[in-house]
Amino acid sequence: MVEAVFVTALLLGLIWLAWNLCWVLFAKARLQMAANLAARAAVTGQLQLGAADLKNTIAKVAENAAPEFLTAHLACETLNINFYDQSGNSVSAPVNMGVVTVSVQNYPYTLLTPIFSVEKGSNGQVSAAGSTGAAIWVSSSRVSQACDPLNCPAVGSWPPSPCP
Amino acid sequence: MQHNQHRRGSSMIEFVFVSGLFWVPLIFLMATTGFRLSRSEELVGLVNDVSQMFARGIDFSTTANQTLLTGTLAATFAMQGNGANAVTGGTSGNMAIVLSEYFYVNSSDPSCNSCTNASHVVLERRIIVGNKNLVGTGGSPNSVGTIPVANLNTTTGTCETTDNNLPPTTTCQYTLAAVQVTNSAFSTIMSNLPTNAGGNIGGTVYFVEGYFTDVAGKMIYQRSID
Repeated sequence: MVEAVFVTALLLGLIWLAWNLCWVLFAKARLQMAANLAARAAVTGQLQLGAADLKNTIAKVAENAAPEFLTAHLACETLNINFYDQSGNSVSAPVNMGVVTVSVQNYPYTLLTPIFSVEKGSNGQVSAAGSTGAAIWVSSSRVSQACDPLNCPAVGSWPPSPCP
Repeated sequence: MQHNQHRRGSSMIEFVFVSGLFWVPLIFLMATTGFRLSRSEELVGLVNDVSQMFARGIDFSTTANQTLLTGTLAATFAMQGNGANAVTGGTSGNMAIVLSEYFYVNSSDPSCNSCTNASHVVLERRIIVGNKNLVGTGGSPNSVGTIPVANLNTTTGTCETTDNNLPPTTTCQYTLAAVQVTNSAFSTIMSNLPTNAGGNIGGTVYFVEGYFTDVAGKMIYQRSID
């Protein structure tokens, strides 16, 4: 009986570990895909329906690609959108043959976040601040192009302040 | 009764043997394989991104673009920068990115005019970012072709002869036999590098290779062509 308890506990621990590792890899893959799609959307220079400007369009595409991970609050805290010129200098808007990078930085991951240990901020949202879990970092980049001068969308600002 | 006393504890010993010699190594093997697979996928994404940027004219010989590469794009690999070596690579870190530009010298190219490298593929430019000592190690293929040190512009990574000009003005790709890439070596990258459609100028291919050693010291190699 005692042996059975020990062995079962050990096996359950291993299953729990494997479950968590799978979840981390899944989360990372989803966030990477979201970053890829957002970077692709960034170079089109087109606004998504309901988005006021380019940066909010990029953020919306990322959020829609991984809605279970990138809530509006978490996207605000972890999603970074940057533009660079051809020499790698940071610029405020996409330039022709420059670079746009979309990255999710320090995404909070606590063990089985969606099920058990949810780190909540004062507003009840899952929060990156104060998380003790491992952080996930993904990024994607594309070569940007200048927008059509006659139909150039506003770049806007990101992240919103304060975060929703 | 006496028989059972002799057998007490034997199942425990068997359990230890089976778990220690079979299950635990199996679980570690599965975990290691999973992490390597994940890293490999990450590296595929990275070299694809860098390759399409390189092909569209992003200059990775500049410090700012190398910082973008090491600090953001390859941040999860803890990639180290080159330091003072702009294009020849550093010696620290567990990752290297090699960017190569190959050019096919068409014999009908008016700039060639029966030149030494006519009908050959040549290495026109090479930039190494990260730990150059990893290239070709751990069972990974070496980067194809070399630019002799004497002809390497250490700021841009391009091949230059005494005219000291950058491609396409430089004649290096036409006249310097040392930058030729043999067909057998180039066939490890792609089968053929055609001329531009309908033109007489040779085609160019942008090739990016990623070398990464994981925590177990095993090499992960990926590459992308644009």
